[in-house]
Amino acid sequence: MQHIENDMDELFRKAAENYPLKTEAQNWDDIAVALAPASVVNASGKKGKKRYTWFLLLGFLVLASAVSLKIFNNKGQGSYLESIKANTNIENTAPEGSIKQGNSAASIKNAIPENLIAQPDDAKYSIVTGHKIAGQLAFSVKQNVEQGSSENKEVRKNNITRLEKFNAEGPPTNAISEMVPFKNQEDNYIDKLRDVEQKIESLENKKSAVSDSLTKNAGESPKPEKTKLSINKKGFYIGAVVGPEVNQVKGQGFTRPGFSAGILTGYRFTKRLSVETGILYSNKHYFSDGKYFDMSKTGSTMPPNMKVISLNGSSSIFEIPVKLKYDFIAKNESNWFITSGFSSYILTKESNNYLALISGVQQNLNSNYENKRGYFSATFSLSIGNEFKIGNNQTKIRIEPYLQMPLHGIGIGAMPVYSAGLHIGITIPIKK
Amino acid sequence: MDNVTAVIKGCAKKEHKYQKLVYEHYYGFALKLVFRYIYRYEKAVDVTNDGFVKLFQHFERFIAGGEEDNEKMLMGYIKRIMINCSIDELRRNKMTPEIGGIPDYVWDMSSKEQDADQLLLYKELIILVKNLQPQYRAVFNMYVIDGYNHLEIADIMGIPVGTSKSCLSRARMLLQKNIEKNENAEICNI
Repeated sequence: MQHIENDMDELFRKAAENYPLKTEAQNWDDIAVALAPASVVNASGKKGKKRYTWFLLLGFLVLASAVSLKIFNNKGQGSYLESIKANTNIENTAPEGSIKQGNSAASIKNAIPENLIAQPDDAKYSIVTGHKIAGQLAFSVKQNVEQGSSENKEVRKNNITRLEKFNAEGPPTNAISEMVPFKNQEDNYIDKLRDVEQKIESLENKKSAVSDSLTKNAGESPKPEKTKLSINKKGFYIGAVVGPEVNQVKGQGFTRPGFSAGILTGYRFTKRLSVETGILYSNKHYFSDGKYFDMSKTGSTMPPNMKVISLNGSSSIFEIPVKLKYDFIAKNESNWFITSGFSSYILTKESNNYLALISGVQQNLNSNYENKRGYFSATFSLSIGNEFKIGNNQTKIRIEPYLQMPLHGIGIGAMPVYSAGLHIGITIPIKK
Repeated sequence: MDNVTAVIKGCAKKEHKYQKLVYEHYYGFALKLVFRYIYRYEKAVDVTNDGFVKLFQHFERFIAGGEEDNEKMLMGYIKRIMINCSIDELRRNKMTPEIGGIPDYVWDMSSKEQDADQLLLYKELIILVKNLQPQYRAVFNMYVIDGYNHLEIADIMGIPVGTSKSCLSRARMLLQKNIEKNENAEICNI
């Protein structure tokens, strides 16, 4: 027995040394990149980024820009005029002679201690106190720019006069004084107060001018919008779509979502009818009970006594759709459409994780298949969506939920995979 | 490889020129070793490249000997790194068996040094080893082909010594059974 074992071991050792394996797959460039310093590797770009994250981000950006453009275009001038009206309403409800009702006069008084306003010649004034007054005055004037009460105008003028007097005559002789050199600062305060006063006056003038013009134009009807050209011109167009997708086998539920992205091209025959094709790359993930996995199609790739209990699978597919598109609601700015057609698949990669019984023992098995397989008219697809124009050159954004129903099974186990997803895309006409 | 000592010194200094020489010279040896452990060819290529990256990143740990022994010691060092990388990859997949067959394009039957029948036999034997469960496959490879003892195998794989021995026994039994089955099939075909 030992003798046989030794012979067998020797045979396997010879086999291990001499077995015929292709060893030309070496790639020094990959090694060199991996050995490069970290900063260089990062600058050259990370290959490990997940493609579906990038595609999802692209789809989100397209959708966000389209929605914001649509909102911006729909706003027009109306909202600006409405905002002016709102402000005018406030003005119109305010008492005569004031722009806004409020405790504007009281706010000035609250900002400055009462005794100081009431008695500007009070002996308690001091240089430092005067500085404080100037600062408080400046603050209260700034507060009242928005309020713009005409009542405050008088108070402010009085305060400026008092400050100028205070500055010219100096502090009272029996005032508490600190040798704080604040004369220049006070001059600045006065200048600033004058500037603010001028600004308030100009703002008040502008507001009254606007309210006057609104009153004049209230009776006029809005200008009619220019008639716009239809978005449904005949001819070729090209575009790109991207979006998430979920897949299932025979109603068994979904696992993690995949994605679909690619380019499409089409030809519009009439205002409502087009034909489209393209090429899309999709990544599908699905789960299935073993009964939907056809072992007869597996050939010699599986152990003969293996029975699949369940599997988690994923496939990478190039899809070539051919479909008719009908715009059942065709407006100047947007269309509602429906499409139906067939898609052919080129399956490039399949990866399955099986729970299987082999000789009565339950175990997990992995398998990966990279032989390309083609499936003509693998699915029937149906979608309904909306596309709307952006810009002036017939560029359209489309949002298109879709369903795909399998016409025959795909993959090593010929499984019928149903798909549902959302395509967000952009199409541009090809000018002759 | 000529002037192994100079190459080793160059690799220790992380000079790309010498690293590339080592990579190109020992790539075939490393890939054939890893392919005995890893089921899929593409994965075996990745593991081999990872092994070389680790080799060059930590080359200073290699202790060179005399001029005559350097090449053997370097090959032994590369072998150890490749086996460790292979075991790590198998552990990462939780020792999950893989199926799907070995595609024909991975084999190179054009060698003129070997008899075609001999090559076919060696290929079939390696396929039998690859069809073992990962744990049996790893233990069989390490004990029978790569010359590790059960203590070393248990240490590298993180299993008890008893498990290592039982895995080896089971692997031998399955290989024996499959060899006999293949022989019977050939007799029937004749």
